[in-house]
Amino acid sequence: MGTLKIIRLGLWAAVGVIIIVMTAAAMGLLPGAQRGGILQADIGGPFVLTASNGQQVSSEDFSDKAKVIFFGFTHCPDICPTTLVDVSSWLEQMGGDADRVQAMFITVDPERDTPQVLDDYLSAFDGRILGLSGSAEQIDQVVKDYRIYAQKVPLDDGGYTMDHTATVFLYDRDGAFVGTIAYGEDDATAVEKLKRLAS
Amino acid sequence: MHSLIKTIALAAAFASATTLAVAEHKHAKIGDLELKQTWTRQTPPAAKVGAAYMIIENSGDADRLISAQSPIAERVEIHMMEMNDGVMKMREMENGLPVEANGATTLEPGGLHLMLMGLKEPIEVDKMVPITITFEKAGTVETEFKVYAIGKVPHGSKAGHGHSHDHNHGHDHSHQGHNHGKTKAE
Repeated sequence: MGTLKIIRLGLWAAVGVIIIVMTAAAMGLLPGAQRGGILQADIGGPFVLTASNGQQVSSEDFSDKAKVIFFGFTHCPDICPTTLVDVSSWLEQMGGDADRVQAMFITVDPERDTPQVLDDYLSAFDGRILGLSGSAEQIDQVVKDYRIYAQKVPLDDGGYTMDHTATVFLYDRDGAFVGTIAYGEDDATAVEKLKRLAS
Repeated sequence: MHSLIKTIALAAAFASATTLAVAEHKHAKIGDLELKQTWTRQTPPAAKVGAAYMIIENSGDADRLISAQSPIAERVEIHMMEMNDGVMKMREMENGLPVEANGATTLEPGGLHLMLMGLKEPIEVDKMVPITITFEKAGTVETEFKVYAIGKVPHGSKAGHGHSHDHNHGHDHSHQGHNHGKTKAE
Protein backbone atom coordinates (compact mmCIF):
# COMPACT_ATOMS: atom_id res chain seq x y z
CA MET A 1 0.00 0.00 0.00
CA GLY A 2 1.25 3.47 -0.86
CA THR A 3 2.05 5.97 1.91
CA LEU A 4 -0.69 8.28 0.74
CA LYS A 5 -3.21 5.50 0.96
CA ILE A 6 -2.15 4.69 4.52
CA ILE A 7 -2.45 8.34 5.48
CA ARG A 8 -5.89 8.53 3.90
CA LEU A 9 -6.99 5.41 5.70
CA GLY A 10 -5.66 6.79 8.96
CA LEU A 11 -7.51 10.04 8.48
CA TRP A 12 -10.78 8.28 7.71
CA ALA A 13 -10.33 6.14 10.79
CA ALA A 14 -9.81 9.26 12.84
CA VAL A 15 -12.98 10.79 11.38
CA GLY A 16 -14.79 7.59 12.29
CA VAL A 17 -13.60 7.77 15.85
CA ILE A 18 -14.60 11.42 16.14
CA ILE A 19 -18.10 10.63 14.88
CA ILE A 20 -18.47 7.81 17.38
CA VAL A 21 -17.20 9.96 20.24
CA MET A 22 -19.49 12.87 19.40
CA THR A 23 -22.50 10.60 19.13
CA ALA A 24 -21.65 9.05 22.47
CA ALA A 25 -21.25 12.49 23.98
CA ALA A 26 -24.54 13.67 22.58
CA MET A 27 -26.15 10.60 24.06
CA GLY A 28 -24.54 11.40 27.40
CA LEU A 29 -22.57 8.21 27.47
CA LEU A 30 -19.21 9.75 28.20
CA PRO A 31 -18.01 10.14 31.77
CA GLY A 32 -18.33 13.74 32.87
CA ALA A 33 -20.98 14.43 30.25
CA GLN A 34 -23.64 16.75 31.56
CA ARG A 35 -27.36 16.50 31.11
CA GLY A 36 -28.30 18.04 27.78
CA GLY A 37 -24.76 19.09 26.94
CA ILE A 38 -22.35 18.03 24.28
CA LEU A 39 -18.83 17.72 25.68
CA GLN A 40 -19.64 20.31 28.35
CA ALA A 41 -16.71 21.27 30.54
CA ASP A 42 -16.30 19.33 33.76
CA ILE A 43 -17.28 21.72 36.51
CA GLY A 44 -18.12 20.87 40.07
CA GLY A 45 -17.11 17.87 42.05
CA PRO A 46 -17.16 16.20 45.45
CA PHE A 47 -16.03 18.17 48.45
CA VAL A 48 -15.49 17.90 52.18
CA LEU A 49 -15.89 21.13 54.10
CA THR A 50 -16.80 22.42 57.54
CA ALA A 51 -20.27 23.81 58.06
CA SER A 52 -20.94 26.91 60.11
CA ASN A 53 -22.06 24.72 63.00
CA GLY A 54 -18.58 23.20 63.11
CA GLN A 55 -19.58 19.86 61.62
CA GLN A 56 -17.76 18.31 58.73
CA VAL A 57 -19.98 17.84 55.69
CA SER A 58 -19.43 16.27 52.32
CA SER A 59 -21.14 16.95 49.03
CA GLU A 60 -22.63 13.46 49.35
CA ASP A 61 -24.78 14.74 52.21
CA PHE A 62 -26.73 16.81 49.70
CA SER A 63 -27.31 14.19 47.03
CA ASP A 64 -31.07 14.45 47.55
CA LYS A 65 -31.24 18.15 46.72
CA ALA A 66 -30.27 20.49 43.94
CA LYS A 67 -27.65 23.00 45.01
CA VAL A 68 -27.56 26.78 44.82
CA ILE A 69 -24.02 27.90 45.50
CA PHE A 70 -22.56 31.35 46.06
CA PHE A 71 -18.88 31.91 46.71
CA GLY A 72 -18.02 34.98 48.77
CA PHE A 73 -16.41 36.26 51.93
CA THR A 74 -17.53 38.23 54.96
CA HIS A 75 -15.14 41.14 54.39
CA CYS A 76 -17.10 41.89 51.26
CA PRO A 77 -19.02 45.13 51.84
CA ASP A 78 -21.51 45.04 49.04
CA ILE A 79 -21.92 42.04 46.70
CA CYS A 80 -22.05 39.33 49.34
CA PRO A 81 -24.62 40.79 51.71
CA THR A 82 -26.82 41.84 48.81
CA THR A 83 -26.56 38.46 47.07
CA LEU A 84 -27.34 36.67 50.31
CA VAL A 85 -30.42 38.78 50.85
CA ASP A 86 -31.44 38.07 47.26
CA VAL A 87 -31.02 34.32 47.78
CA SER A 88 -33.06 34.64 50.97
CA SER A 89 -35.79 36.40 49.04
CA TRP A 90 -35.76 33.82 46.24
CA LEU A 91 -36.05 30.96 48.72
CA GLU A 92 -39.06 32.63 50.23
CA GLN A 93 -40.63 33.17 46.82
CA MET A 94 -40.17 29.50 45.97
CA GLY A 95 -42.50 28.47 48.75
CA GLY A 96 -42.47 24.71 49.28
CA ASP A 97 -40.15 24.16 46.32
CA ALA A 98 -37.35 25.59 48.42
CA ASP A 99 -37.21 22.28 50.28
CA ARG A 100 -35.80 20.64 47.19
CA VAL A 101 -32.75 22.90 46.94
CA GLN A 102 -29.85 23.52 49.27
CA ALA A 103 -28.47 27.04 49.27
CA MET A 104 -24.81 27.33 50.22
CA PHE A 105 -22.43 30.18 50.93
CA ILE A 106 -18.89 28.91 50.49
CA THR A 107 -16.16 31.24 51.64
CA VAL A 108 -13.20 32.00 49.41
CA ASP A 109 -11.46 33.47 52.45
CA PRO A 110 -11.07 30.59 54.94
CA GLU A 111 -8.29 32.46 56.71
CA ARG A 112 -10.70 35.01 58.16
CA ASP A 113 -14.02 33.25 57.65
CA THR A 114 -13.96 30.45 60.18
CA PRO A 115 -17.13 28.39 60.67
CA GLN A 116 -17.96 30.52 63.71
CA VAL A 117 -17.60 33.76 61.77
CA LEU A 118 -19.85 32.35 59.04
CA ASP A 119 -22.39 31.28 61.62
CA ASP A 120 -22.60 34.82 63.03
CA TYR A 121 -22.59 36.43 59.62
CA LEU A 122 -25.31 34.24 58.13
CA SER A 123 -27.66 34.81 61.04
CA ALA A 124 -28.65 37.99 59.21
CA PHE A 125 -30.05 35.95 56.33
CA ASP A 126 -32.41 33.05 55.65
CA GLY A 127 -31.57 30.23 58.01
CA ARG A 128 -31.65 27.73 55.16
CA ILE A 129 -28.44 29.09 53.64
CA LEU A 130 -25.62 26.82 54.74
CA GLY A 131 -22.26 28.41 55.41
CA LEU A 132 -19.21 26.38 54.45
CA SER A 133 -15.58 26.92 55.33
CA GLY A 134 -12.59 24.60 55.56
CA SER A 135 -8.85 24.37 55.44
CA ALA A 136 -6.98 26.37 52.82
CA GLU A 137 -6.46 23.13 50.86
CA GLN A 138 -10.11 22.14 50.98
CA ILE A 139 -11.28 25.57 49.85
CA ASP A 140 -8.60 25.71 47.16
CA GLN A 141 -9.86 22.40 45.83
CA VAL A 142 -13.47 23.52 45.67
CA VAL A 143 -12.50 26.83 44.07
CA LYS A 144 -10.58 24.91 41.43
CA ASP A 145 -13.19 22.22 40.82
CA TYR A 146 -16.02 24.73 40.58
CA ARG A 147 -14.02 26.98 38.28
CA ILE A 148 -14.33 29.96 40.60
CA TYR A 149 -12.06 32.95 40.30
CA ALA A 150 -10.81 33.93 43.75
CA GLN A 151 -7.79 36.13 44.18
CA LYS A 152 -6.34 37.73 47.28
CA VAL A 153 -5.57 41.39 46.68
CA PRO A 154 -3.54 43.26 49.29
CA LEU A 155 -4.85 46.56 50.58
CA ASP A 156 -2.72 49.47 51.65
CA ASP A 157 -3.02 48.97 55.38
CA GLY A 158 -1.76 45.38 55.35
CA GLY A 159 -5.19 43.84 55.01
CA TYR A 160 -6.61 42.31 51.85
CA THR A 161 -9.74 41.92 49.80
CA MET A 162 -10.75 39.08 47.51
CA ASP A 163 -11.57 39.47 43.85
CA HIS A 164 -14.11 36.74 43.23
CA THR A 165 -16.75 35.35 40.91
CA ALA A 166 -19.99 36.99 41.87
CA THR A 167 -22.31 34.53 40.17
CA VAL A 168 -24.71 32.11 41.83
CA PHE A 169 -24.19 28.56 40.54
CA LEU A 170 -26.89 25.96 40.09
CA TYR A 171 -26.15 22.23 40.34
CA ASP A 172 -28.62 19.35 40.16
CA ARG A 173 -29.01 16.52 42.66
CA ASP A 174 -26.26 14.48 41.02
CA GLY A 175 -23.87 17.40 41.23
CA ALA A 176 -24.06 18.22 37.55
CA PHE A 177 -23.74 21.88 36.60
CA VAL A 178 -27.04 23.23 35.37
CA GLY A 179 -26.66 26.97 35.05
CA THR A 180 -26.11 30.30 36.76
CA ILE A 181 -27.87 33.34 38.12
CA ALA A 182 -25.82 36.40 37.29
CA TYR A 183 -25.18 39.21 39.76
CA GLY A 184 -27.93 41.75 39.27
CA GLU A 185 -30.17 39.34 37.41
CA ASP A 186 -33.83 40.06 37.48
CA ASP A 187 -35.68 38.58 40.46
CA ALA A 188 -38.45 36.93 38.47
CA THR A 189 -35.96 35.20 36.18
CA ALA A 190 -33.92 34.01 39.14
CA VAL A 191 -36.94 32.46 40.85
CA GLU A 192 -37.96 30.84 37.55
CA LYS A 193 -34.53 29.24 37.23
CA LEU A 194 -34.70 28.00 40.81
CA LYS A 195 -38.17 26.56 40.38
CA ARG A 196 -36.96 24.68 37.33
CA LEU A 197 -33.95 23.50 39.30
CA ALA A 198 -36.19 22.24 42.07
CA SER A 199 -38.55 20.37 39.77
CA MET B 1 -66.92 70.06 66.45
CA HIS B 2 -66.38 68.14 63.25
CA SER B 3 -64.14 70.81 61.80
CA LEU B 4 -62.10 70.93 65.03
CA ILE B 5 -61.38 67.22 64.74
CA LYS B 6 -60.43 67.71 61.11
CA THR B 7 -58.08 70.53 62.04
CA ILE B 8 -56.43 68.49 64.76
CA ALA B 9 -56.08 65.55 62.41
CA LEU B 10 -54.56 67.79 59.77
CA ALA B 11 -52.18 69.33 62.28
CA ALA B 12 -51.13 65.89 63.49
CA ALA B 13 -50.56 64.71 59.94
CA PHE B 14 -48.54 67.79 59.17
CA ALA B 15 -46.46 67.42 62.31
CA SER B 16 -45.67 63.80 61.62
CA ALA B 17 -44.85 64.54 58.00
CA THR B 18 -42.45 67.24 59.11
CA THR B 19 -40.86 64.92 61.63
CA LEU B 20 -40.44 62.28 58.98
CA ALA B 21 -38.92 64.81 56.63
CA VAL B 22 -36.46 65.84 59.30
CA ALA B 23 -35.59 62.20 59.97
CA GLU B 24 -34.77 61.63 56.30
CA HIS B 25 -31.28 61.89 54.84
CA LYS B 26 -29.06 64.59 56.20
CA HIS B 27 -28.00 67.16 53.63
CA ALA B 28 -24.54 68.60 53.99
CA LYS B 29 -23.12 71.60 52.20
CA ILE B 30 -19.54 72.71 51.89
CA GLY B 31 -18.33 75.25 49.39
CA ASP B 32 -19.87 74.39 46.05
CA LEU B 33 -20.55 70.84 47.11
CA GLU B 34 -23.73 69.34 48.41
CA LEU B 35 -23.79 65.83 49.86
CA LYS B 36 -27.16 64.22 49.32
CA GLN B 37 -28.81 60.92 50.06
CA THR B 38 -26.01 59.91 52.38
CA TRP B 39 -26.69 56.31 53.36
CA THR B 40 -25.03 53.15 54.53
CA ARG B 41 -26.05 49.55 54.86
CA GLN B 42 -26.74 47.55 57.98
CA THR B 43 -23.97 45.02 58.55
CA PRO B 44 -24.49 41.32 59.21
CA PRO B 45 -23.21 40.20 62.61
CA ALA B 46 -19.45 39.69 62.75
CA ALA B 47 -18.92 41.82 59.63
CA LYS B 48 -15.81 43.93 60.00
CA VAL B 49 -16.49 46.18 57.03
CA GLY B 50 -19.28 48.40 55.82
CA ALA B 51 -20.02 50.56 52.81
CA ALA B 52 -21.33 54.12 52.64
CA TYR B 53 -22.87 55.80 49.63
CA MET B 54 -24.01 59.28 48.58
CA ILE B 55 -24.49 61.74 45.77
CA ILE B 56 -22.07 64.64 45.59
CA GLU B 57 -23.52 67.56 43.68
CA ASN B 58 -20.96 70.07 42.57
CA SER B 59 -22.05 73.47 41.34
CA GLY B 60 -18.48 74.72 41.01
CA ASP B 61 -15.05 73.68 39.85
CA ALA B 62 -13.67 70.17 39.90
CA ASP B 63 -12.62 68.91 43.30
CA ARG B 64 -11.42 65.66 44.84
CA LEU B 65 -12.58 63.61 47.80
CA ILE B 66 -9.31 62.78 49.46
CA SER B 67 -10.09 61.25 52.82
CA ALA B 68 -12.76 60.28 55.31
CA GLN B 69 -13.01 59.26 58.94
CA SER B 70 -15.65 57.80 61.19
CA PRO B 71 -15.72 57.18 64.92
CA ILE B 72 -17.21 53.73 64.32
CA ALA B 73 -14.41 52.49 62.07
CA GLU B 74 -10.66 52.21 62.41
CA ARG B 75 -10.32 53.79 59.01
CA VAL B 76 -12.36 54.76 55.99
CA GLU B 77 -11.07 54.24 52.46
CA ILE B 78 -12.39 55.28 49.09
CA HIS B 79 -13.08 52.26 46.91
CA MET B 80 -14.33 51.46 43.47
CA MET B 81 -15.84 48.21 42.26
CA GLU B 82 -15.86 46.76 38.83
CA MET B 83 -17.53 43.68 37.43
CA ASN B 84 -15.77 41.94 34.53
CA ASP B 85 -17.02 38.64 33.13
CA GLY B 86 -18.78 37.75 36.34
CA VAL B 87 -15.79 38.56 38.55
CA MET B 88 -16.12 41.41 41.02
CA LYS B 89 -13.01 43.43 41.77
CA MET B 90 -12.63 46.06 44.41
CA ARG B 91 -9.81 48.56 44.49
CA GLU B 92 -8.80 51.45 46.70
CA MET B 93 -8.67 54.82 44.99
CA GLU B 94 -5.39 55.89 46.47
CA ASN B 95 -5.44 59.30 44.84
CA GLY B 96 -8.93 60.00 46.04
CA LEU B 97 -12.13 60.36 44.09
CA PRO B 98 -12.40 63.06 41.44
CA VAL B 99 -15.54 65.15 41.83
CA GLU B 100 -16.39 66.58 38.44
CA ALA B 101 -17.21 70.24 37.99
CA ASN B 102 -20.84 71.21 37.60
CA GLY B 103 -22.14 67.72 37.93
CA ALA B 104 -23.06 64.89 40.23
CA THR B 105 -20.74 62.13 41.40
CA THR B 106 -22.61 59.10 42.68
CA LEU B 107 -21.37 56.53 45.16
CA GLU B 108 -23.69 53.52 44.94
CA PRO B 109 -23.79 49.72 45.35
CA GLY B 110 -21.70 47.88 42.80
CA GLY B 111 -19.62 50.99 42.16
CA LEU B 112 -17.92 53.69 44.17
CA HIS B 113 -18.24 53.64 47.92
CA LEU B 114 -16.63 54.74 51.14
CA MET B 115 -15.46 51.58 52.80
CA LEU B 116 -15.57 51.56 56.56
CA MET B 117 -12.92 49.16 57.76
CA GLY B 118 -12.21 47.71 61.15
CA LEU B 119 -15.72 48.39 62.38
CA LYS B 120 -15.78 49.01 66.11
CA GLU B 121 -19.47 48.27 66.29
CA PRO B 122 -22.07 46.81 63.94
CA ILE B 123 -23.96 49.22 61.73
CA GLU B 124 -27.53 48.99 62.95
CA VAL B 125 -30.62 49.71 60.95
CA ASP B 126 -32.41 53.05 61.37
CA LYS B 127 -29.38 54.61 63.03
CA MET B 128 -27.21 57.39 61.63
CA VAL B 129 -23.48 56.88 61.12
CA PRO B 130 -21.29 59.97 61.39
CA ILE B 131 -18.60 60.30 58.74
CA THR B 132 -16.23 63.24 58.26
CA ILE B 133 -15.20 63.84 54.67
CA THR B 134 -12.33 65.94 53.38
CA PHE B 135 -12.26 67.48 49.93
CA GLU B 136 -9.07 68.84 48.45
CA LYS B 137 -10.53 72.27 47.69
CA ALA B 138 -13.79 72.57 49.56
CA GLY B 139 -12.44 71.40 52.89
CA THR B 140 -13.80 69.14 55.60
CA VAL B 141 -17.41 68.46 56.40
CA GLU B 142 -19.02 66.17 58.94
CA THR B 143 -22.32 64.58 58.17
CA GLU B 144 -24.48 61.56 58.95
CA PHE B 145 -25.27 58.50 56.88
CA LYS B 146 -28.65 56.88 57.32
CA VAL B 147 -28.60 53.11 57.84
CA TYR B 148 -30.77 50.96 55.62
CA ALA B 149 -31.49 47.27 56.13
CA ILE B 150 -29.62 44.85 53.86
CA GLY B 151 -31.58 44.67 50.64
CA LYS B 152 -33.16 48.09 51.03
CA VAL B 153 -32.01 51.18 49.18
CA PRO B 154 -33.06 54.81 49.23
CA HIS B 155 -35.80 55.85 46.86
CA GLY B 156 -34.43 56.29 43.38
CA SER B 157 -31.07 54.72 44.13
CA LYS B 158 -29.67 51.98 41.94
CA ALA B 159 -29.81 48.77 43.87
CA GLY B 160 -27.49 46.99 41.49
CA HIS B 161 -30.24 44.45 40.94
CA GLY B 162 -32.89 44.09 38.32
CA HIS B 163 -35.71 43.46 40.69
CA SER B 164 -38.12 46.04 41.97
CA HIS B 165 -36.78 46.75 45.41
CA ASP B 166 -38.69 47.88 48.44
CA HIS B 167 -38.27 51.61 48.79
CA ASN B 168 -37.66 53.01 52.19
CA HIS B 169 -40.00 55.95 51.81
CA GLY B 170 -39.31 57.13 55.28
CA HIS B 171 -42.72 56.28 56.65
CA ASP B 172 -41.81 53.36 58.82
CA HIS B 173 -39.04 54.62 61.01
CA SER B 174 -40.30 52.63 63.93
CA HIS B 175 -39.76 49.37 62.05
CA GLN B 176 -36.64 47.33 62.06
CA GLY B 177 -35.49 46.81 58.48
CA HIS B 178 -37.21 43.80 57.01
CA ASN B 179 -35.22 40.65 56.50
CA HIS B 180 -36.56 38.55 53.69
CA GLY B 181 -37.46 35.00 54.52
CA LYS B 182 -36.96 33.20 57.75
CA THR B 183 -34.05 34.43 59.76
CA LYS B 184 -32.48 33.22 62.93
CA ALA B 185 -33.68 35.11 65.95
CA GLU B 186 -32.13 38.55 66.04
